[in-house]
Amino acid sequence: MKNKRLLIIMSALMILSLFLGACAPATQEAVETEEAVGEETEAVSEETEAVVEEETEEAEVEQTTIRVMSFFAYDNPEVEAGVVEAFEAAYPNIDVELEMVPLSDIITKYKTLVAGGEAPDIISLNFENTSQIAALGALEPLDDYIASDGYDMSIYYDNTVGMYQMDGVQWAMPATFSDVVIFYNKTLFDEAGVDYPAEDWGWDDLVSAGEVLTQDTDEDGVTDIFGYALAWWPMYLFLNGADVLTEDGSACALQSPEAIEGFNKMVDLQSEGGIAPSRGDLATQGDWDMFIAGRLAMYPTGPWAVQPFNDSITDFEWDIAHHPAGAQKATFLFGNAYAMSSSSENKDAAWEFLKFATGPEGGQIRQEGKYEISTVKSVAENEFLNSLAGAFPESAIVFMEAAEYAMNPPKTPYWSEVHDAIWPELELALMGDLTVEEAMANACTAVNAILE
Amino acid sequence: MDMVKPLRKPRRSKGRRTYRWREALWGYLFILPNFLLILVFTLFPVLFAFGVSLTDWSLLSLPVFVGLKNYVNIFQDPVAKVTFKNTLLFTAMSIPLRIILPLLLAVALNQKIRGIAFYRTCYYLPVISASVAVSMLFMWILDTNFGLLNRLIIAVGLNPVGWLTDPQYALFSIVLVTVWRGLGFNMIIFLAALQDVPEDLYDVADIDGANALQKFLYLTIPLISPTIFFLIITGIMDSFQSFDLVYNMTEGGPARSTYLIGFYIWRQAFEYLHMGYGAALAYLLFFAILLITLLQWVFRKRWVFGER
Repeated sequence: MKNKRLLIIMSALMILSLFLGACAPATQEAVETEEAVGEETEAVSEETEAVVEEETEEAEVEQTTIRVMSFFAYDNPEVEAGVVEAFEAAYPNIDVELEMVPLSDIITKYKTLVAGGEAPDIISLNFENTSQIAALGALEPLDDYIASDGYDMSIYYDNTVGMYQMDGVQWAMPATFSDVVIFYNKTLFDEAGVDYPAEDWGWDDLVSAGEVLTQDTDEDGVTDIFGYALAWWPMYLFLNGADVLTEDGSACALQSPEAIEGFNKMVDLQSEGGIAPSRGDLATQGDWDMFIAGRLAMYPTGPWAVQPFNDSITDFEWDIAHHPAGAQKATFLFGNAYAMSSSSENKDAAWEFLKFATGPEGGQIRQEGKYEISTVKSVAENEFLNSLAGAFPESAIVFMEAAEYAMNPPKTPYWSEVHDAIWPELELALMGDLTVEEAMANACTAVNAILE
Repeated sequence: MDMVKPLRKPRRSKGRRTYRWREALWGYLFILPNFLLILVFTLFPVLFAFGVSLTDWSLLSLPVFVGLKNYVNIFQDPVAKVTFKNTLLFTAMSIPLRIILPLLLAVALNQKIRGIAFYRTCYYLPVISASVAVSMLFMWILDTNFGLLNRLIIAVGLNPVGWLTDPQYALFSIVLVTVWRGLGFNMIIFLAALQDVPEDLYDVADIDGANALQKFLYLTIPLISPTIFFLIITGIMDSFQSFDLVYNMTEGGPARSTYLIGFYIWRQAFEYLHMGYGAALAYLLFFAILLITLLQWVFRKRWVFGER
């Protein structure tokens, strides 16, 4: 009798312990076993441990391992592996475990690891994600490392450094950037007798050139060539001196007269008789393909288009120019960076990696691997420009010049939420279902609710 | 030894009760692993989610108790309203198609024709295909610029349609893909039900001079109505929770036209890290499904055969 009850209880406990055991983190077990050891032995083992440590330190430099999670050049993993290899060669006492994760998954994966206390030492971020991750307290502020190391931040383009500063704190080291410029079809400009876009072009120049370039070549009532295609929507705020949020990021600023005017200009560009294809026009052919097909004279896009356009465009000449200014010069700055986890246990080693991977050495390897544009001026202005010699665009230096005045979307931790609140409303305004004022009133109600 | 003996020789009266209890104990012991699995992976998360829905929690920080605030906020959230509306519209459009098409197909595949197994397999294939694969396939077919469907439409001289890019059509496109994907499953269930209808009833109907349509409407439909009921109930539950196609194909756009509640819950919880709000939305969805299911359960007596 007794035996049997015991057996039942024991087997129930064993099954239960299987579940619990599977859930418990491995470290806890180690701690428990250590605790189980008597106090005396513990004291002794501590002593011996200390001795052992001292000895090894004298004998050879301690080997540290850092874990790096990265999406850089995910499709060509040998590029970032090359950066890691070069780093390990330069710092033989630091081993790097590199894990490549696609951009679409890396943030979710990182958040999960942070929540589970297993965050990697180094994480790659893009601009859009940095504020959210920093606001969660997952990142290590880098200012002290930069200051105590006397690290020269002027090797990077200023704006690419600034884009990872929130509330005066540097959260990440810029690795690559891209910015939006105008790609224009020289042949179409020549045929229409229009001057090429110049650096001092303003809004009226854009519209008047666009009107000449927009043509119905076979006179069937359907536009065959468009002068311009719309950029991502915040462009028309920036060009008009407006922004998405107020300066302190606490409220929606989309109902300001400048913002409304900017969006009205955007809507007009693609309305009936405008110079840009509307949603319906784009249904037949997207703007990217329109440009390749020679049906689009001016196309605002970034350096990622250079290689594909060189590969697929054979029947006309093209170049890049600054996006025409509105009330001010403006364009987008996007970028990728490396940051350090605040939970890292090897922060000094991680800092060495940050410097190396984003600095001239890492930048050079990535640039040779043709991954975006290095944020290191010397690398971008030599390696990047040289790599384009003999190919289009002739004025590739415009990418670097535009970086000087390029801007980024607001640095709010809620950016993805804010964006999702605005864009569907703006879509309705572009389709003519709402006026810009109505759309922005709706958007601001939602945005302010998010920021509360 | 000691352990087995009492099983063979049950004592009387009081002993009998302990014997039963012991017998039951063994039963409990045998279901314990399964019970623990349900406890850990179903019951616990469900209760945990309710706790979460009463908090403000970003997953990385500590949860803050806020009472029913999340639930109150849902009723002031215009986007939540849009997603509930879209979900209802999506369900209303997809359920009739998800019942009628598989039923017709099942009737067709219930005939004695050559290669019947081959056809049945073909129609069942989408069910076992990965949802991402189905999404990619249809994104290619429905693509505005290069899609197969628009190529066909242009070939017959019509204007291309923005199947996934025009807010007027996008939700309908998602309905079509959902129907296509679920066709095989519902068809198999209907097929089983059709084969349960006794042959002699049809013989009697023949003698009475009923034509094929009459036999179908007045004999087949009432006899398989329990199956129809089952498929409507599970279909509505399924369509209220739709997520993957929207996630893969449209991300809720354009202009929120395909923003379904399931996708909104995911976005709030895992993209915006509002775990509490996401859990509250999920609980509201749960109660909505519960209510609709109960209503159907009550009204089933009006039309389901054998429930009168």
